[in-house]
Amino acid sequence: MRRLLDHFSIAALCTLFGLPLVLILFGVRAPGIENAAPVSFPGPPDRLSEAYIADMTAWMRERAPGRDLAVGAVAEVALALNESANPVVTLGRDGWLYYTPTLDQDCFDDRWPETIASNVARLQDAYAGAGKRLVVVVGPDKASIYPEHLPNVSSCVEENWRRLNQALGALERQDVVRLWEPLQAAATEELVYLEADTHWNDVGASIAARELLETLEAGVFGESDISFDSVQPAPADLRGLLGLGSRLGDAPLADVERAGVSWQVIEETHVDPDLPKRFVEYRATTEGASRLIEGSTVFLHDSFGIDVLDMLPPYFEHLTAAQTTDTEYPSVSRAIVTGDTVVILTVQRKIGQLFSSSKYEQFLAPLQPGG
Amino acid sequence: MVFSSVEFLFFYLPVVMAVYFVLPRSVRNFWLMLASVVFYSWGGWAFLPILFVSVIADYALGFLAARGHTREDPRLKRLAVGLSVAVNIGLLGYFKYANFFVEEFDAAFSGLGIDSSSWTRVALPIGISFFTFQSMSYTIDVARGAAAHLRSPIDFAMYVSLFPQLIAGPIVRFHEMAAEISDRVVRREDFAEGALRFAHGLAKKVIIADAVGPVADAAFAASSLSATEAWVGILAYTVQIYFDFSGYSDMAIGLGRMLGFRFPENFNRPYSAVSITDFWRRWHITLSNWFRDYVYIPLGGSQKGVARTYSNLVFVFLVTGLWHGANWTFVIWGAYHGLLLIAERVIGQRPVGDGAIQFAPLRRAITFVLVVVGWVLFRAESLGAAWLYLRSLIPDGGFGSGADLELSSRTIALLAIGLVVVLLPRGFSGSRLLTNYVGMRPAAARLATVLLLAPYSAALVLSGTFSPFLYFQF
Repeated sequence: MRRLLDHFSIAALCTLFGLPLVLILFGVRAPGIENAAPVSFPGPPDRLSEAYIADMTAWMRERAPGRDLAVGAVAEVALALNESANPVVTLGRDGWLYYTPTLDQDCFDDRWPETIASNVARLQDAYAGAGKRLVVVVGPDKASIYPEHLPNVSSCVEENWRRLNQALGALERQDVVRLWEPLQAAATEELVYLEADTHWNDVGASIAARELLETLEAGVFGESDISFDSVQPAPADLRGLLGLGSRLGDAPLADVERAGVSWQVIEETHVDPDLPKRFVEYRATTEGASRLIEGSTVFLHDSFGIDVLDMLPPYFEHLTAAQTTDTEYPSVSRAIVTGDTVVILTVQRKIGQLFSSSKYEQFLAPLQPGG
Repeated sequence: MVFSSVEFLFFYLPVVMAVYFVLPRSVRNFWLMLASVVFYSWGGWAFLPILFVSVIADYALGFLAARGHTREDPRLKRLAVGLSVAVNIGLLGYFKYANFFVEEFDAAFSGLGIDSSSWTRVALPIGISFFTFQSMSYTIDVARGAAAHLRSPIDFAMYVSLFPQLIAGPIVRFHEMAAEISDRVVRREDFAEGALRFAHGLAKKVIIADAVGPVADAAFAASSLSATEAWVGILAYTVQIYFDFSGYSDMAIGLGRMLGFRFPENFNRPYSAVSITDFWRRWHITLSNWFRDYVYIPLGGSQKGVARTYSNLVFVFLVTGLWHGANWTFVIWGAYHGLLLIAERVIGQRPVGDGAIQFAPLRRAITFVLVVVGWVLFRAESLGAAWLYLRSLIPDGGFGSGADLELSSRTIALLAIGLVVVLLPRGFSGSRLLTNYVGMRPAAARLATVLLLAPYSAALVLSGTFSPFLYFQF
């Protein structure tokens, strides 16, 4: 028995610690499971240095076979203990996941929502003065629409969105699109956000698209334009952050079809060569009764705008979309200069970064002479 | 390189072990030396020359010490030992303590209006406290005739740099492994028990110590702390330091065993001690033994009267404190333990033998609290912070409340498991349970280690570097 136990212990432990190296020698590498390019092998050194050792260590740590399985196993154990393996993900009720920074908000200072609202109004006035139209679309965080799945955390989320919504509503401006009410209304009938993802699903995105289009030109959107006849693997970025894979189950897939309208991508590049943020230009033509929004429209958005953008091209004569609101990028700045209408779509959590204090003035820069 | 890292567990260790057992015995020491140099270089390429200086000096001084011993020439022996101490304590003094002393002098003289010195801070080489002590023990043991000197520089370099105990001990005195350097065999049982001991230590480190560590970190970094939070924090540190350090020692002892060495035990359930004297026979045993044999006894130990015994104790514990780090907190921690040892002698508490111990539970509880309070001094960043923390341990003595100690159901459970270990009977030993084959319990413990603890520990290490971020666009 002792002998058997010895042999079994040796075999099991040697396999556990030795197998990854054997697999490496056979060319097996752990897949990249972070949303970044996997570390590449540093190759033979020109000379041995601490930098080389650091590169080699990084490669070993990231590409050791079995790492993806280990990350998943540790996350599953944590989940079984009702604990998140990554502090940026908060476990909600019924399997729902939330992005922790959306819950870790301080309650707004007294005048903060009003300051945001007045800066939005001031910016819109400045654009109007330059002969342009500025539309600001504010999307709610998931926690604002689905607070019932939140764990017992003390959070200012609900209070904050209520006050921000009120302050933006008090502007009484058509070009400030608040998505809380339409999404809350839709949420009573169907799912509008993804359970294991930060973002809305295609149903939620279609509501955002509809509200935006109706704001830009009443009647341009028809309910029959969008159908949900098929499904797609549901994105699950929050599960990905736990190391459990970035897809979970199925989600409705929106299909936009407008009679007589055809559209095409004129140019697709990256806003920044080092970042996967897209910069895309579209043109649409119509041969039937379907109308197009005329002129040149610029759509600046964050990740919530990605699925919305998929539905927009058939409605615009000329649409330029950038997956950033940073006007420091020359392509973005140029698009604003040439655009007739500028749309900024931001999620509630980010609105402070865009429109608080003097930061909103970044959107004024392209309007300045030589901007 | 540390044991609980991907590069060690899944790359370095399999290569070193595989090559070691393929090579003929005559070149195994060379391979271990080479592997140890790589191990050390991985964490601090620039510090390798310091290790070499210690090795070269004591290798040469070993010949001098051996000659002194053969000729029974006390002057030659003293010269060899003196030079070894000068070189090693010189290295230790400069690289570990120079910053501390210069800053203290600057602080003292700035009060007198004297400008501070233009001192460039010295980086602390990894493991210097361990390898200098190990290297010194060679010359001392050879001079004493406790072991013969090594003729092969490779054998000696291997002894000093041997990777399992190079950076965190156990501090193996030369005479304890002299025989194994030149002649050792690895039996199947040795390898199996070593591997299990290693897995057991890894689990202690990555499953328990690493999980409760953030609780202690949060408590010691808190700007406000209630008495309850302060006790939770220091108990978390009590568990962390034991599981971390003893886990690392288990890994070192296990690795040694796999390679054919029998390193001395470093821990023996220290929190079950019934006195501070007993605690120091159970905590970091190899360091205590080193100081006992090479400092306390040469100073006269307890053989030169009460006053001299007490002064020897205080001196040894001040040095023990300073050995742990260049900060007044460590010095005061050492003094605290030295004074407690003296207090035990004053009240006539006898060292604990094998017989029944009177009031054992009460004595255990008192000792445990005294040790835990001492850890505040050990863990705090400064004496001021230690004082503030010590005050917060007293009900209503805290400085506010509401510290986020990052307690979760898992950390609470692991903290509880750690504390339960404290309450286990004095004779219980987890590692003995793994290695002694009596009935079915060891088999169950072995299987649990091999099938559950080791894979989960490995998964924790592999997943430790997972750090995704939520899209670029956020």
